[in-house]
Amino acid sequence: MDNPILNELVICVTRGKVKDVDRLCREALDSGINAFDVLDHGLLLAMQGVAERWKLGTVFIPEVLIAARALNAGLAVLEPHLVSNTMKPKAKVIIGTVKDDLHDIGKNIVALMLKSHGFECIDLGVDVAPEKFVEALKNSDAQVICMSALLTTSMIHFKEVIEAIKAAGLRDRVLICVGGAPVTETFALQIEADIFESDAVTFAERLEKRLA
Amino acid sequence: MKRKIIACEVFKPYLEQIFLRLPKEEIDYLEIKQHNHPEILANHLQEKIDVITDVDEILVLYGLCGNAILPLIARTIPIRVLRVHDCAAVLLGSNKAYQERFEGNPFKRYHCFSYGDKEEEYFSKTSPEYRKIADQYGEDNADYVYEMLYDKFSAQVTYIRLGLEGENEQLSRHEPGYYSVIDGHLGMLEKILKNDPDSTDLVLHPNEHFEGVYDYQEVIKTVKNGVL
Repeated sequence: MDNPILNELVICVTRGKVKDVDRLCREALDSGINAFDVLDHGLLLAMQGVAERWKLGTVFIPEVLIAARALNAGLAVLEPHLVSNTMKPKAKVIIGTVKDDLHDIGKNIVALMLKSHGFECIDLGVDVAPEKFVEALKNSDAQVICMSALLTTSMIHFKEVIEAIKAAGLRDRVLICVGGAPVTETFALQIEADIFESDAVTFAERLEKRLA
Repeated sequence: MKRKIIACEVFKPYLEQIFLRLPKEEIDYLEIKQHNHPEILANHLQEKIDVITDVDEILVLYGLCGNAILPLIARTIPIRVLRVHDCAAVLLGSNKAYQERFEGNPFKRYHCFSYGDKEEEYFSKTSPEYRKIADQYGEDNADYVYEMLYDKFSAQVTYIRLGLEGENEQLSRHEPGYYSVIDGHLGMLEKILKNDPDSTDLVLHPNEHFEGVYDYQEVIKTVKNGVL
């Protein structure tokens, strides 16, 4: 979608220009552009570009953080136009970084993208013990659990969470997704997770398709 | 036994110390901090491995390092690696010391002499890295990055001290109490260089692949290809 406001929005998200992102989102809506188009062809397009450059190693964590922060500012403007009182969230997702791990950049981007795609997120934060995941699952009608870790020393806790969910008799009720830089598809298969995702930015789309 | 050694640059000053005691060997160093992009590091390592011929073994002084070594292939020559999660275990001298320090402790940030002033590990408001981000993206964004990458993790940064000249000066650059200093040990590095039977290592043979175990004892294992 070639629109000068959206083109400028992509640049401003990438450059972390929070105030300009706020302004441009409002301008886009005022000009009659649908909020979903502003989201898809402005905010998310920018984030996909940053994610590609991150994978290639041409930008680093600071740039990813800066872009995500700007995206969040834009999302705050778009959100009232994306949801209505009659709209149910696509699904409820419990998300957290596993025990002994404080890293949450990827997790926060996943949560942001899930929100952007109409999911409701229950964010448990970081250093989340297995029993906390189970408790959150018991106390909600969440259909999905997303776990992340950045440290190989934390990866052992993924299986603990899955075993705890099984022991609580809840395994059939929930889709379990795992991600984080050291996580691999092979590892996900070994621990019997349902989905492995290496791309925080595109995960929400993939989940949408899986649940459809 | 003829061998070639590939190592992360993090070990350079420590290996230079060891080579004051052991016969010096040539080492092909890879730039430090590539574990932030494990797939890229894996490719770099494999490229280095694939051009080596006429040796009995390739010693790759890396551990899991964000799972960078998992995809490595020993085409015709066995590859020996460190059976550790990362360099902190090596510099602490054992997986046991590493477990004692870091298990159950979410603050796993550590520092050592060879990290020097590398980005993220030394991201403070006076660092060149902060300035670079502030110049490119504004101070507001630089402050945000500082808060997310530095401030949150600034509690209890472990400094692994190994008696090198320059360590005290490096420690003094931060306010007292910033680092929790622990004395390391070069025994693990020495043992692998000496082919000590008690060495914390693992050999990958042709027709095998690595698999992560992710505990603090075995850490990694090798599996025959084609075996599930």
